[in-house]
Amino acid sequence: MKKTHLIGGILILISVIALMSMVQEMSPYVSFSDAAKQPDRKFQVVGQLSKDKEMVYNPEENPNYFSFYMRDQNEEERKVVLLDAKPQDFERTEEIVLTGSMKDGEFIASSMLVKCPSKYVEEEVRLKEISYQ
Amino acid sequence: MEYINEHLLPGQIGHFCIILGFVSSILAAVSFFAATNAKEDILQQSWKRIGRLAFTVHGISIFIVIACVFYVMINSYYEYDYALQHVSDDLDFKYIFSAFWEGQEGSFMLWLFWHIVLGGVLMFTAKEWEAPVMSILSFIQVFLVSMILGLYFYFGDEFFKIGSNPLVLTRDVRDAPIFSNPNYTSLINGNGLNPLLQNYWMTIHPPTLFLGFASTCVPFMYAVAGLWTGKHKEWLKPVLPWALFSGAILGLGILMGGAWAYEALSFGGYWAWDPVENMSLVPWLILIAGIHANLIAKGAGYSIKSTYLFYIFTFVLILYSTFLTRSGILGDTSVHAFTEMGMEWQLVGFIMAFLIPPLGMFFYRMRSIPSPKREESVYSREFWMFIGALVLLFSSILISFTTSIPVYNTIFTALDMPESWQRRPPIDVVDHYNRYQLWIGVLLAVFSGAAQFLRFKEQDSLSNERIGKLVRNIGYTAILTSFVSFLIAWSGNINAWQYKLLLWSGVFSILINMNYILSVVKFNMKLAGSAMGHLGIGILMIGVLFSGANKDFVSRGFMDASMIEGFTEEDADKNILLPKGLPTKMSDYLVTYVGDEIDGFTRTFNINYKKLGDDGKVLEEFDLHPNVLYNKMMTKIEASNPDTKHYAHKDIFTHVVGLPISEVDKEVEKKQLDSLKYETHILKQGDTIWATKSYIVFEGFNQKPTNEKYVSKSGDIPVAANLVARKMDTEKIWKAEPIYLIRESFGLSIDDEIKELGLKFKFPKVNPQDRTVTIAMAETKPRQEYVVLQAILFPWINLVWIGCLLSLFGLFFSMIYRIRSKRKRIADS
Repeated sequence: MKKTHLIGGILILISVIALMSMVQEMSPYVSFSDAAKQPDRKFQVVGQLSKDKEMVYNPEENPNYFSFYMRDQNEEERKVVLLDAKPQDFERTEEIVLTGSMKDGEFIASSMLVKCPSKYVEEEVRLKEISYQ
Repeated sequence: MEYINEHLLPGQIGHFCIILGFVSSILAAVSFFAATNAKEDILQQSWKRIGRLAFTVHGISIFIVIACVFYVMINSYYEYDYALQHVSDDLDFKYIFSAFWEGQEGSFMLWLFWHIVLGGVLMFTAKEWEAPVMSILSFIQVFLVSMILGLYFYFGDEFFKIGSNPLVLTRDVRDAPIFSNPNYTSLINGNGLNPLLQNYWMTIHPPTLFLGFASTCVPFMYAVAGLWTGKHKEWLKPVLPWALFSGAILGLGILMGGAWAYEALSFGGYWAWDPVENMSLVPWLILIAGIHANLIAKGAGYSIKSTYLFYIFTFVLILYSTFLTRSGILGDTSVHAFTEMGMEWQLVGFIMAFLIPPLGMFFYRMRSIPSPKREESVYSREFWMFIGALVLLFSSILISFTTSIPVYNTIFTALDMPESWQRRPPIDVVDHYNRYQLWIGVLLAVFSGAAQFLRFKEQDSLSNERIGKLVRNIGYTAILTSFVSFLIAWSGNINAWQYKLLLWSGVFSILINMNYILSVVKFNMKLAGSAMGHLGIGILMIGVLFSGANKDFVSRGFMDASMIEGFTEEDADKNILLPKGLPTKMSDYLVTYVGDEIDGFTRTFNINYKKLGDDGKVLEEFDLHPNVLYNKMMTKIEASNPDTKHYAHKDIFTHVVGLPISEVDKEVEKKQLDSLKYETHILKQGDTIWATKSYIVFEGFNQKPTNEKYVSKSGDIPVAANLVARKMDTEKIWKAEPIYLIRESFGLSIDDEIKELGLKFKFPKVNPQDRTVTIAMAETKPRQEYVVLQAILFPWINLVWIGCLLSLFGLFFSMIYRIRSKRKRIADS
């Protein structure tokens, strides 16, 4: 057996171990109620912004506190606290992915990813608006 | 319907040239194919001539298409959808290039453009490789042009779309009532360029990156040509300068992306392990692995098979990255992705067309690919270089594995797998990648440094003299490294063992490359490129380590004991509130929001930093100017651009993350004004109104008002009330002068206000019978003027740039050296 083959084999073995341990980290999104079961762990929750509920961002009081309501995949609605400033143009958000954990019925998120409507759809809307002016 | 004011000619020329470009690329591919397979010289030459002609026609057609698209964009012909989407009447001309390649179609044309340029160079320089290489390039062009064909095939109600044409008419692809107006073009304005992309990086980064993408096809084509013609050794030399060129340019493109993110975007860093970033890095890693395999193959005859595979996969991975960014499959996992255009299957076909046939050829030819019988010695350079290439491959597999999660999910969904099969990207993406790639960095730094002292084709056992030399060079450097890294770790606050390991290997890489340069390279230009490249890797590692591990949110200080359990300070305390004019302590700095200026849609803030010594003296002072971009209605903030103070050894990065809601949205400001509560007061001369923090005395009438809001007209009868406001704690007085005006027999009130006290006055009535006035007063909240600021300190980030540039310069230098020595050989012979 050639030495390079041996080393290649070792690398493949390490790859398999590394990939398997990586898969562990790629847990699916959870719901608020799942996250509530383990308040010490960080989870990712995906959902929709509740546009009718209030959003609070009062930088005068705390620039690192932004709260709003979100419905998760199971349509369960919870208050979310983001430990950061309110992102620009948050009202138009379609989908939200939160990272954080449940504390006393509120979801405390240390980071958030938002998805906005695509530019193409907006363009369509804009053209229609012009048409009706 | 007859439309007026449309300009259809450029579209017609463009459509024709797209078809011509498509057909001529097929002809070129076929002709060069025939030239490669032709046995007789005369047949070969004539096929080659046809191929060259066809490729030239192809090139000219595509250039005309590009010119047509530019023409409609420059002239803002919104009857073309591409112009409508990417330019607008108020778009600065200097952004026309950015607008051109903002869209998918434009970036495909940029890619086509570079392939044509590279094809031109290859036709002149590739000599005996011209026919096979150009045949493959033309075949690639067939696929690329198909991406802008814009043809629809109907199968009953279903249709299949091939490509997206940049010159389609707006009224053909969109449905809006406006198109019932024959003169609709006069009514619409374009959407313009996304404000985030309105900077010079968008002008220089895409062409560089796409030249990098485009150039990876050259090593691929040489590899396929080698398999095709069975000349397994002959292609190894001419391909090398091209591979080095591609490595340097693609690397530069990726680096520019990082620099752009760092300088102009607000996520605070140069590398976020975003899928799009990853998938441009992976082909580069494989290409670098390929260059090393290529050098082994040239120097020692081993690794020809690996060279083939690495170069083939470099290009296939570029196509894969194109698929990921353009199919919409990344969805919510990336900030860079284009929106989907219904071309997923076409892109998959593109990948398969350049993956399966080359692999098939490879396995068909595998037995005939030469490799030395004797096994390489563990003391040889080729052995360790090959290990290095495997480590790069390993790194690429790990990165691609996580990045491809959305692809697995799509496949699982398509196969009706249960929901539980779905996987999501790791929670802390950056940490996830860093944790694994740390080891790659350590291995590469150590191998790449030490292996340079070894020789090609070394014996299985070494003479004592050679062993002594190796031990001295590598062993002494390791000892010195341990000493130096200990000092750095101690003084630089590097505590985690992983970081210490990274530090050690980075320092080792720097020292051993210096040693190599001083003791071996000296003025040997052949070796200089590799030494520079590897030295750059070491410097880069130290820069990554310090700027990442010791990155510090300077804008701390808001939260203290109220920390939430389970969250670190970094999670919860990144931003600070700066009221205007009030110096605020932020880490070692006293920071003041001095003011701001609005120019067009940009609002630029002036943030003053003072560093104070223990005695309160100002040691250092500077201003930073982050800005925000409003949308066209001035109702929303579209983008926040940072500003950074650069030092040799650190950067202070600052951006505005929040503003008072009334500053962000003018509608809210108006609502706040509308909702003010006025209270009416009936006052005699000398009477007082008490406000929360001040009191106001009505001092009498004034027939000649000076209130600026009042514009006099003949026949007006104005009466102003002189109001004087005072506060308890100051001598200062403020004056207001609301006016009651009789104009054309109607009574009007002209309001006045005292901004500093938040007081607004109306003067609705004069009551002549008892010589009193009715004054309505409202108190606004004092105007809030503040910014929410985020400031991050990046220590030693310049080492990241220096390291990368040095590495890329090393690649470039090697390329120049190899081209020059080839010219010299030709001149000598």
